[in-house]
Amino acid sequence: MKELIRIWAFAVKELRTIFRQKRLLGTLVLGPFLILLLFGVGFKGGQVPIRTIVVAPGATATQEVERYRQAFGTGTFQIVDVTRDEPAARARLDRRQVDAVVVLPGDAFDTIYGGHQAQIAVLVNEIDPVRRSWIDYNTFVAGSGINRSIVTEALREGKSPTQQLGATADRLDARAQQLRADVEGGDAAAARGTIAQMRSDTALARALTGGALSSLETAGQSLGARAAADVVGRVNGELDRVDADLNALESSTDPTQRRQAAAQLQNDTGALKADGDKIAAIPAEVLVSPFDAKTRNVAPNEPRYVAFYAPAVIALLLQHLAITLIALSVVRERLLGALELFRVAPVSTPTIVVGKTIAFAVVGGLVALALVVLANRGLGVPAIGNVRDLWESIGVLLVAALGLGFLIGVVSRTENQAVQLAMLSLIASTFFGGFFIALDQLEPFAWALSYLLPVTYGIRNLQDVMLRGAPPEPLYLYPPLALGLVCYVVGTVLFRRQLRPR
Amino acid sequence: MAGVIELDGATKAFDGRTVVGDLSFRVDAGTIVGLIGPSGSGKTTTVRMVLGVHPPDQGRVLVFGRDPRGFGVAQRQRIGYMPQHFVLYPELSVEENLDFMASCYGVSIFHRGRTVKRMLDLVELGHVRKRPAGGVSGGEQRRLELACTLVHDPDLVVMDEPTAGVDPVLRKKFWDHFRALRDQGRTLLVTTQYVTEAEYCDQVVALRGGRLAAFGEPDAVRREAMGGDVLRLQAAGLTRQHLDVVARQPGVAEVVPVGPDEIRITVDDAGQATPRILAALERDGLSAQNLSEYRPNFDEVFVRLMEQQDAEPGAPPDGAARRAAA
Repeated sequence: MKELIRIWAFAVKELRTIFRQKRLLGTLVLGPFLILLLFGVGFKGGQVPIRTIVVAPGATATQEVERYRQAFGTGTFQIVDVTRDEPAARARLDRRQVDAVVVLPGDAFDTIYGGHQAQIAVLVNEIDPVRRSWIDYNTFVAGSGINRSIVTEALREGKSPTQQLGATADRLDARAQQLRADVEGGDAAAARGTIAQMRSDTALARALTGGALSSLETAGQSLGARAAADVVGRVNGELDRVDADLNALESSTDPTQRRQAAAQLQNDTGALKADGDKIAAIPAEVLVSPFDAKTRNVAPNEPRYVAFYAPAVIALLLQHLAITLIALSVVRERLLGALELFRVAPVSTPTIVVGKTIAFAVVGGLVALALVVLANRGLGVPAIGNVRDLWESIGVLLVAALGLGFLIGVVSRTENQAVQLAMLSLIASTFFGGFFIALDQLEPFAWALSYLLPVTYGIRNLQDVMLRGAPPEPLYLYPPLALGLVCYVVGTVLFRRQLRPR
Repeated sequence: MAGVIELDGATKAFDGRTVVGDLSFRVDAGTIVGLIGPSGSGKTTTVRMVLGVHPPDQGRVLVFGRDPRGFGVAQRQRIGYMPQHFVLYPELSVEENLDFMASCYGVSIFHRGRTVKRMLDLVELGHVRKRPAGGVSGGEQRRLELACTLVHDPDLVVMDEPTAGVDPVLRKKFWDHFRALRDQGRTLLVTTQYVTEAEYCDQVVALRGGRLAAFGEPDAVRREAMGGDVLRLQAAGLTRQHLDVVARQPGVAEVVPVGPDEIRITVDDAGQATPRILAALERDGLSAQNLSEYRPNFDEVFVRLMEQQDAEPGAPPDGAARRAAA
């Protein structure tokens, strides 16, 4: 019972000390929220547009320039100027007035017809590797866009023969029907006339398949173009069969055989018509880009940038708060000389540690509550998980952070040292805790540091609970508890050593 | 009967420098023992050895008959300690500091309010009980610390310079408190730089350079320092011849002129020496205006002790070891 009184004494003493300092109290609650608010208001998110100058050599046709401008201008590249003066454009790039200079090829057609790829040079003046990668990616996207537009255009040109082929196949099928009626009606003269017309159509159709194949070859080896070319090849076989049916009709005098040949002809023209229609119906865009990949987010929530980062900011602030408060409290106790009293008084080390932990956990919990409510109500940050999961996440984070802070307090000789170590943990958390940089982007050896930081677990758990509505994963729940426990045990051993007779 | 505190040849060194050397004394229950000595004489180290904060490198320290380093909750509960410097919490109010210390000693919430009020009344801090401890005067802070030391009603009260920086009026009040505590049966070990405060103690431990300079009741220490009782003789027409007459009397150890008509005479026993000296001077034709016992203050006593120690470095003055052993 007396031990509980002592623990309570330390908890109340710390709480009174904090709540007595009104400025500190304001900083504790309002400070973190103002940081969160500023972040929410000030963070634009996304990537900044790439200010670009397009340099078109003198010989480039205006229509071509426009094509390039559209290809580059629709993405992240923001065309600020189109010029023929490359040195001037480069000078502006050197002065970092623009982010990229796109130099179009002067002899694109000659180069392509010469069997080589025409080069579009994208000059950048960038030392930020992340932004450099971003520009590389967008250059690739713009280049692919140009290629696709050229191929689509070529296909549109090649579509005329395919559409004519479809129309001819339809005509052949209609005439085959007529021919069958003529044959069955015994109208030999009419039949002969229809056969002549059909032979003319098959000849036209053969010519059209040649043209279509040629334009599809221009479209390259895309899956859509290859599929269309296969159908065109099949049409040729069907034309062969139609010609054979016509030959059989012409060479036979037996009415029964002629009727059978006419029926067969109608079947074959039917197949021809089906393939012809198929080719005519395929749009050029589908031939060039037969697959269209679109993402569909199955997450329960699609937060904005601010909402996504808010749980991470809360976790980081809570960790820093907990570490700083308990570390400074331990150091201050030592500097004040109070440890001398505790050495003599019937106060055990665990009593002091538990008492302080309770006090700062309560303060941390109150600040966490205030931050979550303010973020939710003030910034519209979702909090769709259940309250128990939320408190579990916050509790685990606080235990781990308080453990780490206690250890820092025990090993620090002065308040300055404690503050410096707390700041170091803050910097490490920013880089390695998954705050801005995903852990997957770090080398595996760096994960060791990541998983020694309470904030790594805190960010993951708070994002899961607040944004996904999912409970914290056990892998992110128990390790921070263990981390806090280890810190407490090591810290208590060292603290006891400081308290014992010497 | 075992003493509340017993030091037997206790020695403590830091970084090879002996801070307390071969210190032996005993404190009995219900007494006030003053640990006096200048800065750096080893008072605080001695106190810390008594509290079990510093283990002795040699010798033995016993408190309540046990090594204080092994004290459990029950033994610690019997000790009240007032450190040399203010170590309470400046942001907390006077009352809250007292409440905290009472809780540390396990005073239950039902009794705490009453206890705190009683202690505040005792040290006369009721009027500032709501003020932050950092905002009250130095004297009030010392009183608050005293209240914190006594809040759990300890048997042994150890105070390291409780009156340092305290004005004389308040110092007197402090000593009144201490005597009242002693009268209630408590044992007090008090260090002080104000050697005159030794007068208020039942026993005095005088330290010099970490070693025992004197130990005993104040009068005994005074006698020890001065070499016996001191008499003050005032007479008109004192000559060298009269001084020789006095010096030749049995039991006279020293004759020191302090003015044209005044001398101080150190004797073994003032009661026996006084009539002999008066008779001898009359025989010599001198009529004394006044011959009375002189009680040098403890500043003077302490200076004499230091001078004796300086004359015999490393050795306690004659009698000190004997008395300490006793």
